[in-house]
Amino acid sequence: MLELSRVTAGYGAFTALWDVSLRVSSGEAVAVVGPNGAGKTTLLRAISGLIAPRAGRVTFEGAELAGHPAYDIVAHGIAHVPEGRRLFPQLTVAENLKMGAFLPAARAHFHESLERVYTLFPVLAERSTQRAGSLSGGEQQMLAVGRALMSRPKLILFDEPSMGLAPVMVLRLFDLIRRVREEGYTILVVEQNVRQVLKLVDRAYLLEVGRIKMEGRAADLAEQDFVRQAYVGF
Amino acid sequence: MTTAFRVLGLLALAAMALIPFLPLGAAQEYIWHVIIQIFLWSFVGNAWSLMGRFGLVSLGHGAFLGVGAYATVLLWNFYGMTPWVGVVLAVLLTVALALVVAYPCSRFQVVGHYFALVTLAVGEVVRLWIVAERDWTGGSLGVSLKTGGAASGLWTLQFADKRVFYYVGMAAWLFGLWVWWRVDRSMARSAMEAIGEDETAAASVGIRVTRFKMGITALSAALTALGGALLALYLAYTNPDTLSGIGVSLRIVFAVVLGGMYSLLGPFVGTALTIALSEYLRIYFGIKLIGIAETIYGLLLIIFIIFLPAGIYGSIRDALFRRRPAAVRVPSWSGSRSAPWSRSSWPWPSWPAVAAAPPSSCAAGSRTRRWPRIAPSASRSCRPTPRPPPSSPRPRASSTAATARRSRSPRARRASARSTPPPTGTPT
Amino acid sequence: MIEPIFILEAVVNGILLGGVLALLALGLNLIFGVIDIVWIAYVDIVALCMYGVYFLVTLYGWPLWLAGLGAIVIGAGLGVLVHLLIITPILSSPPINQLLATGGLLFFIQSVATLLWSTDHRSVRVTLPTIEVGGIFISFSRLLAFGLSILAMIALYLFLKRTYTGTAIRAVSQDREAIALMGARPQRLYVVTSAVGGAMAGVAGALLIIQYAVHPYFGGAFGPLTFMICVLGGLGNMVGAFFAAFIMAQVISVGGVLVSTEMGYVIAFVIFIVLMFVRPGGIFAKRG
Repeated sequence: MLELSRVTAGYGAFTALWDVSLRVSSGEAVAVVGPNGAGKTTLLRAISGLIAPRAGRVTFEGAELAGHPAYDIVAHGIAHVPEGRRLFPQLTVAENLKMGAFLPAARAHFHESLERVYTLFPVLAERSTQRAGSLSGGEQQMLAVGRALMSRPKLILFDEPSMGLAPVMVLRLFDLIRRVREEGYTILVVEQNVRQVLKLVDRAYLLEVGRIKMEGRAADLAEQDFVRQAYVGF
Repeated sequence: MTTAFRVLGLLALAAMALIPFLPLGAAQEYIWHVIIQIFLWSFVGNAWSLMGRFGLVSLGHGAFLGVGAYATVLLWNFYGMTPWVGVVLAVLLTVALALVVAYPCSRFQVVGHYFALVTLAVGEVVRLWIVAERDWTGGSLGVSLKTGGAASGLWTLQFADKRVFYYVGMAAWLFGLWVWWRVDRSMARSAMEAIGEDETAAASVGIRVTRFKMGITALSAALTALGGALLALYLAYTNPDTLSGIGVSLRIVFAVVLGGMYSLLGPFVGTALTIALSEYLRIYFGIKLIGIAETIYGLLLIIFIIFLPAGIYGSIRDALFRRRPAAVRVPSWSGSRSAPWSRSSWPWPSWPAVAAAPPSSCAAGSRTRRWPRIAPSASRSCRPTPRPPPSSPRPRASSTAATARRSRSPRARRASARSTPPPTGTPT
Repeated sequence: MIEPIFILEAVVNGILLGGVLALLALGLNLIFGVIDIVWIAYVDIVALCMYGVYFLVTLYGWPLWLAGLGAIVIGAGLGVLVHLLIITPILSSPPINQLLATGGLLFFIQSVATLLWSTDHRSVRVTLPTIEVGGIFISFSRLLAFGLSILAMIALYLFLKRTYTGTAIRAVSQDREAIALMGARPQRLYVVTSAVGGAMAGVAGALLIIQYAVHPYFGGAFGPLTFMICVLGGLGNMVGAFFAAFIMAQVISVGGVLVSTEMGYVIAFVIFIVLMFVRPGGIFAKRG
């Protein structure tokens, strides 16, 4: 479904990704793990169009997306849950979700999508008129995921969803992502919390200093010694 | 400055000093008039840039001009007070006004847009008040300097011969340059830069923020008032629109920015150009079409700002000397934005490392930008310094200063929300 | 001594004036809050809209209400023009350059107006009655202007709160990248914001021309006042500007009656400075 082919991307003179190739098949859940500074966020930003890759191709369901702006890429069906949530703090929960459905295609199914999100995340329904900035960390993450769902995507990119959350919330969060996956969405998760995320996904890639160092089935990767040693816990 | 340029500078000065004695034909009085205006207005421009270069962008310097001018003229007209004393009193009065305005702004971190608009309001209200008190200020018609009669001369500072004012103007201009140069070399400059960078951090190392800001404002106001007084004495007339109000304030700012705000001679170059331009337009169009000169002036202003944001003198000088800009051109504005803005329209040297930094508060896509300010070259923020390209990615400093800034105001928090990944981690 | 009835009249007139001032401030604040640029020339654009109404009525014989709608269209058009021609190239310039660009626009507008229409004061001769309520004389045009400006503000509020575009405009001022991730184009939202800001200027122009005469330097009278109101309410803070407008209008109106019109402005300014001492971020600034 999604294929990155030798993507090189960065910011100005600084290159964060070198020659990265990966693929995500429809219905899969894939993780990209790696230490701080590896380029994981850059990877997602290159896919969702917030930055344009310098080289390489990003193909999604046959369409070439490299270099397209973000508002175009989301219309193709890729939703990005950014690092740090990036909610609209002064808007209410309901308004944030409304913004998620900004695309004309999404607007047409707004109520249906809203129902779905409220069923998945009942706490959002309770707090629908509350300002997003005043929610707790876990609720904000749920809102961010819900907002992404409102655009009726096919592929959802999660950027460090566990960041800033209490350990108990992290477990709940991965549970939610699992449920989202079960709803039929294709998932690409970027995480530092290797152990938890490998339990969630089918396949994973290891990204270090901008290059893919390993790839394989999640179970296999979890067995790797140095993974266990190097990335214990958070 | 190399010796060659020093010599050249002195020669230029000597040439300027000799102009009144050159036979310039019938138009010589007019030429002197224009040059006197250039001297006095660039003196004012230099005074303004003392504040402007540190991010205290005032759009209301017309107020200081007006108070200086009117006080001097009225003290002479009503009390026969010699301008030697009158000017001093006018300057003191202006400084008092400046301190009254500067105190809340300095103490409570009114910076950036707020400060500009507050000063704009001050400028306009001074003008309004002058018009309101028309009984003794003459209102919109202005007030003329009463002639000193036979006693004119040094006592009254009224001279029949323009040439005296030529040298007065030149002396004032040089004095302004000297003050600028002294400030540039002083501790105050570093302190103001630090304040501009991050007020909280500056205060935490013992810089008396309020005092420095008020000091600079007072100095700038005092010099501007002096300029206003000299202009009033020279023109022997003052009127609320020529020497106060938003029009004149904007003209000063424009001239300085056009010439280059961070350089010594920038205001001079800018003022010379703008005055030459408006005189040319006035001559060319005469009174045929009232307002056409101003229309073209306004249009050119807009075009220059859009296409030549770096200022003429500043960029020429840097290109000529091929050294890194005296100012690190990345503007910054503490208190309202947390994220410095990396892609500057000021001319960068050509080292590639100087391009946008890794994702941080410096992301080029970030809409946050800051007020012009000179940053110390050993900057702890993610501003790239003009050095040869590093082989490894620059470490992005998640400075405590940035966090302190972020916690300061909702706008700052918004700004940080706007920018790409909050700088608590490194690019991932 | 001034009779209390005149003070009451001044208070009422202050409220009426406040409505229109609030409208001015709201338009300016909208643009600043979203695009982050202060249009120094905003009130001059209002003046252009006033000229628009004047010419539509006197030259083309349009009825006043139609000319008012025309002013809204003119205002929106001017807003878009200014944004595309002047603001877009300087979006990433240092703020001082942005101020100077809009300052240059101020010069330009004022001098073009002088060039084209001379410095004559022009007003639309509207014969609207003066209403008397309990000894107070209220000009109907003022009342009408007040009512319509309240309506306009309600319309703006509904637009920003209820519609997709309006909510997106609020969102883009909070996080420009995130709204792009939702499929909205920030640049397009800016254009819409400028159009709406310009339309507000058009409404304000239509409401002002029935009360005041327009001349090229009209911006010099109302401009600094509008800026003072915006700063007092907190730059970008719509609610703050709303209340600040009424406060300032009261000071000007009552001060104008007690002392003199110009001194009313001066007093307003002094109070402004004092309030700056007390609450420097604007009296309604959210402490952060």
